[in-house]
Amino acid sequence: MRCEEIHDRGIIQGYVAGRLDDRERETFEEHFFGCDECHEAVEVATAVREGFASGARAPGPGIARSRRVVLAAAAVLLIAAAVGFYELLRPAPDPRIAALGTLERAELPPYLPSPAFRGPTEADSAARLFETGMEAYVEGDLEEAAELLQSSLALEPHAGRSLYLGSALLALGDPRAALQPLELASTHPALTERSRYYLARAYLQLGRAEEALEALTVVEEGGAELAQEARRLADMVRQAMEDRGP
Amino acid sequence: MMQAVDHPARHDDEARLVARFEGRVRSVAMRSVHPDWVDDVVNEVLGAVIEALRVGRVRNPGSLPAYVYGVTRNVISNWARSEVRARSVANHGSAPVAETATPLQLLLDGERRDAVVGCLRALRRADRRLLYLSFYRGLTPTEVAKVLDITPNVARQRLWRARKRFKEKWRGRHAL
Repeated sequence: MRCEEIHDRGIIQGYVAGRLDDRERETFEEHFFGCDECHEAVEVATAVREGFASGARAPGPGIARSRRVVLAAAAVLLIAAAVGFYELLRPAPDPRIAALGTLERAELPPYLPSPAFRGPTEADSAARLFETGMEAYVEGDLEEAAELLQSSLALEPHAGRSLYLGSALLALGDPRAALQPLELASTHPALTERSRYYLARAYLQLGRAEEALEALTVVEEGGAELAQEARRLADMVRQAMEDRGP
Repeated sequence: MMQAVDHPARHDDEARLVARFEGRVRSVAMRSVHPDWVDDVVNEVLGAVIEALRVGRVRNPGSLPAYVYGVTRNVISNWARSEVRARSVANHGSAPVAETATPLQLLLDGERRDAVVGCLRALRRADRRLLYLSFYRGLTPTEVAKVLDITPNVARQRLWRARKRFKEKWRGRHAL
């Protein structure tokens, strides 16, 4: 076993998490008895796990300082300025319509673990991150859930798992970020109606009532459990639009 | 921990051996036996290795790491067997086995945890995130690279630096 292979295969991570089989564990232990670097990595990894397990807060994406990122940030600012200008021209969302899109935590889609969400193996990092994210989701820690689900989906795009990321972002009050995962979730045959329902809520929060109504129509026509709720919401949106006038 | 030996040069060699292998033996022991017994296992392993060196059982210095690891596995196997025996006796109501940590252990564990959390909080956010994804969430460098949208090589380098900075902070508070 060579250091490069150990680092590339995440052997140290597997060792401290107790995920290696006996043979792999013993081979690695024999290696680090003679390797200062790998042993140091084991000690740091053990301490880091202990620290995060006992209260150090998981950090969300931060601001990197490399030149490439600074350039990218400048580009993003330019785009944001252009979008901002466009948004200035666009009428502000009607508060009554936007309020219809607000998602309370109690309205989040329930999570029922099923084989459809599992990864191919226990060592599948994307599935592991998803499962841990869903533990946070079920406990109501939506920031932690969104962070883990985003990491999971960055490793492996998954339509079904995207529903929960989109919903969590929506409940956290970030409808713009919720759009993309909800769009992806709506391509999942079993989740089309449910995803469209939450997508409609995101559109409403953004004041995009017409698109919300389109999405709600799909939910109504699907005739699934949310059809009645979608019809009721669509009626409220139409009423709010009528009251607002042309 | 270890008994003093007569010859100063030998004493230095043995102290170096303890410094080099104590953490390694502890790393293995803490994953294999009850926490109450880790110190005893470490002492037994290092004692046995020093004894073997004194009587010339290990002649090739290059084979020392493998030898120490072999002794570690043997000692752990013996302890694991006695742990099973002790549990079996305890289950029959004769000799209770202490399963809970002592107040002193709890205090030391608490201090260590606080020190680790302090070091993590003192790191830059980017370093903390790398360590979190890699060592807490168990992602390989290639997976970390995907999550952070960087190349695997950059992920490896940054992880190495984050580990180094964590260790520097940790050294200031606690010995790894």
